[in-house]
Amino acid sequence: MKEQWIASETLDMLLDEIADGQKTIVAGGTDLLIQLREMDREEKPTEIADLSCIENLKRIEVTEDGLILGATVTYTDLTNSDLVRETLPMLAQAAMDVGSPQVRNKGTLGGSLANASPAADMAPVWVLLQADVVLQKKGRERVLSVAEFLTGNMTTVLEPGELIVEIRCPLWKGASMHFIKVGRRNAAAIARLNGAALLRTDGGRITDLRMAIGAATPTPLDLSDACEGLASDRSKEALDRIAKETIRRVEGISGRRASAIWKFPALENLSRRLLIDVMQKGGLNSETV
Amino acid sequence: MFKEIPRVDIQAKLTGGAKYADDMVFPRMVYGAMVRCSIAHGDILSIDAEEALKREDVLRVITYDDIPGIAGKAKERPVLVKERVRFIGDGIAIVVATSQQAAREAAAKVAVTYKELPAVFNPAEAIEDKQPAIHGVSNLEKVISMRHGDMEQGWNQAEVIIEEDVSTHRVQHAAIEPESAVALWQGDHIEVYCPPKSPFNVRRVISETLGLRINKVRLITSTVGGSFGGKDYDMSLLGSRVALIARLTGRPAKMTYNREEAITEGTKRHPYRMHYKIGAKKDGTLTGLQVDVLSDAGAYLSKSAMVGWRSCVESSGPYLIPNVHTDVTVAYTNQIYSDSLRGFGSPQVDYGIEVVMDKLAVRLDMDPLALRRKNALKDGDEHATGQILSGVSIGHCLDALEESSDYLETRKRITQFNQEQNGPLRRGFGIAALHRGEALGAGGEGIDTAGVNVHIEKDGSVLIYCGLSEVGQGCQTMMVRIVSEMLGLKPERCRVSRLDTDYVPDSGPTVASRGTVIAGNATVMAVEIIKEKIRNTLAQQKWFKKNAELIYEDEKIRLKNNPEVEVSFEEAVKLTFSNCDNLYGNGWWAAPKLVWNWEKGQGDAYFNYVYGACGCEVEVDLDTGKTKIIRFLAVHDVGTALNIEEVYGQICGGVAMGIGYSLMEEVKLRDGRIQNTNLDSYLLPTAMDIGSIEPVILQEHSAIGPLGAKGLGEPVTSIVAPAITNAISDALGTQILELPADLEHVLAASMREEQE
Repeated sequence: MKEQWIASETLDMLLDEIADGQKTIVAGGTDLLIQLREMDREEKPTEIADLSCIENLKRIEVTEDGLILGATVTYTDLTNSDLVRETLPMLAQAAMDVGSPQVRNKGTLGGSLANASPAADMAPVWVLLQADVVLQKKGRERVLSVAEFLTGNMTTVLEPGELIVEIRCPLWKGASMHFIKVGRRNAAAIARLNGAALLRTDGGRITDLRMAIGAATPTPLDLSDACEGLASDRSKEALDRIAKETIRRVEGISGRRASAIWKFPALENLSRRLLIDVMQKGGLNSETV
Repeated sequence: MFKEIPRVDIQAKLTGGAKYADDMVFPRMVYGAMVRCSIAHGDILSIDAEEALKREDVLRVITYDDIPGIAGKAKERPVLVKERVRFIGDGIAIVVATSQQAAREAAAKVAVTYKELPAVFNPAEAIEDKQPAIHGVSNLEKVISMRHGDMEQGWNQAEVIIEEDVSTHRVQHAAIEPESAVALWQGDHIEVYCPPKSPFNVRRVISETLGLRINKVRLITSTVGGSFGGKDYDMSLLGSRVALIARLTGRPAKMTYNREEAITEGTKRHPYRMHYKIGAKKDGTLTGLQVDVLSDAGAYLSKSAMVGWRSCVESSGPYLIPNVHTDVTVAYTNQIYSDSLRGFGSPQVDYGIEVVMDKLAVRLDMDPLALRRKNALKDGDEHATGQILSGVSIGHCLDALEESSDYLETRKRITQFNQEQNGPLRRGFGIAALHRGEALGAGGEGIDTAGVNVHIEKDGSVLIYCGLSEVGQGCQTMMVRIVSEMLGLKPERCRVSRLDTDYVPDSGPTVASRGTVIAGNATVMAVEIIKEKIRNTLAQQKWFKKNAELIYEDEKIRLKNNPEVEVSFEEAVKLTFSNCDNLYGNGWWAAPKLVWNWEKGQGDAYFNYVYGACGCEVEVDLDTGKTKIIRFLAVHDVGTALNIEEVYGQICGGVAMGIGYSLMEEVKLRDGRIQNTNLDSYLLPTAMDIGSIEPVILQEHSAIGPLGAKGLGEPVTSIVAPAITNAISDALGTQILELPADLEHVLAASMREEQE
């Protein structure tokens, strides 16, 4: 069988190439190369289509749709971008925690979303920020929220011949944000848990408090509805209730596995911690927390 | 203090010039791939290689029956198994093909059927009656004992007695270079290129496998990409397998393990389960210690008994304890075999005694440093082996630790830090103290020797040959330092030849942090012979009167009494050679004789001990159990530092390795199968995980070591884990007694403390 590596310079050319739905798509390759190594020779894909030559997929811009991040923007691009650091600094912070410098140099935002690992570092951030993904296949474009896009452990709504083109992220002007990742080591680590929280206030009153947790369930868990009560009650008991609710929901989705001995108490602490920290960042007096 | 010199091998290694075994290619070379056993215990019923042999690029499939010599001694891991398989990973066949990929693909097609036997994975269960015996009739290999004083007295005198269960886990060397070997059959002898830790062990096993006399096996070491105690028996097996291919096919052969294979087959550090009972008076004076250790040897013996012996001897720590009773039980299980790993039985018992000392300090309401100082060994004290000690520097090490850590201030600062926290972070400070026997000791008697040859060439350049391996520890630079110091030469004049077993005497294994002392002393002897030859030459030239003293410095030889009279080193060399003489010196040094009573476990275990003390400040996140190393202070008495930069390097590397052992590394087994066979799931610390490592060097001249030097490679890693866990325990307010102190264990301990 002939092995082919197809690199196109324009998106249209590439969409033509992959229209048959037979090709494996590669962006940075940080997940695909490892998967290829673990495959038997017979299961290895023979045709690989490479996105990395398409300049347009590397753009970082602010438009009326918010921050536009091309599918092949790398984590390093994200951390180095002044535009990102000015508009959504949490993205740069979360990107810094991804893998190692080598992985950040090669790994892309689109590739990570398409891979759909439950432990993906940015996934809870996209869900928290209600980011959209723009998907294209030959003759069709659709826009979905990341929450809709991710369907399970390593699964998405992507159809054969379809690509992630860009991520559109609302700017959440004036909001305070906080991201936490817990790994077994400080670099080159897969998240054991991660999460992000966001707060908007008006005159010391909470107008919006949102939280999403990753690496605990197949897709990020959006706990924003559970946080609504904090607008009127920021007591320790209220925080404890949300922390317990987090575990209850995780258990409802993933059950109680062997790893729960650590994961559940850590998750309880992490969700509480995210809320306390984001409220402090937002200038809400910690005493009232 | 000596000025630092750059490592002699650094340029070649940094520029990619150094050649590793896998870099070597010969015309018509063939490649081998292993067929490994997939069950933990059983007998092979059939090996069907038909499918593999159908391929045109496959030459043959080698099995036990093809071995001309012996596959392995009793209890030792065989090159290929005959019938009985004892762990998942035992070698069954070697598929030989014209490319590595073809060999691997074909190996996957070899079908093996087994009659499965019950397997045992828990060493405590393994030694119970009616368990399937892995070797002979019982899984109990040996109990190594030490009996000192009278335990009844020890407990009677005690005002406080505590008992604790302590455990350590299984970790591995994880050298960056996996095992690799190349072999050539030269018609009447076999030539093997590989990176061994102990080349003469590898040569012996190859000779046994091929049924050749030792002089028919020539082993030439390639650059070693890391050992840390590994590449010993594992290298013997791989070297033998590749030699078999070359012998049986007549073609150059190569095998290189990938990471998964290296982890599946490679030896590990022994996991220990330890029970401690320790007694003390209220003022902290230790009265008695009882230690029971259960060591998991895995499926084969290798050096497990010797490792257990060192653990036994060192089990009482650097403390004066009049009554000590230690038993180390070595048991077989149906899993990956254990062997030497940087520390050779020290890290486990050092962990045990040091975490128990902290627990005792809490119980006595004493400062941990004060408790250690109170009991620290001194010159003239009787060690638990009955040996009267001299050159004891643990007291000075503890002083240096107190000073460099600003001990009391640090404790005060940490207490204040913790009081000010309303978040999840807590800091803690922990210490640990070390004594460690130098070189092989009585447990390895008869092989604690080494040979070094020094050749001065006609142009005055120096070539050094050594029987111990350069495994990254700096052995070559150490010898260059000694030669250049003694002959007053620039280090650049010297080159160290890579070890070729044809050209150097069998110097035993490169282990036990003994290179500097044993090979260093052999180097001194070789240089003395050369000096004597130069002396003869110069005397014949009537250059000085009889018995005149010579000084070697600045590449010149001078008369001590009349420094005006001088001859250049090169001139002296020329004169010697023109006089039909040579300037070759052969040094052979043997460690002082030791007497050991195996029954009582008493006697002179080691000719010397080295000492150290470590302190660590950590920050623990109570929310997650995550530990951050803030600073690690490592005090070591290294004797004369032959090369201070390398001393720092050894310490920093050893501490980093100890941090991995403490916090994250763990070989995870399920029913005998290793779950994490690559470095994505077997986590080693990165530069972001090791905090600030601060070496503190004491230089107390050794009476035995060359130029006063002492061994350092293993001591630096031995007490890292207890210093870190004691710091974590200090932060949590509850003692952690098992390794690793990972997220799970630390969070569980912190929740336990909360409930209490």
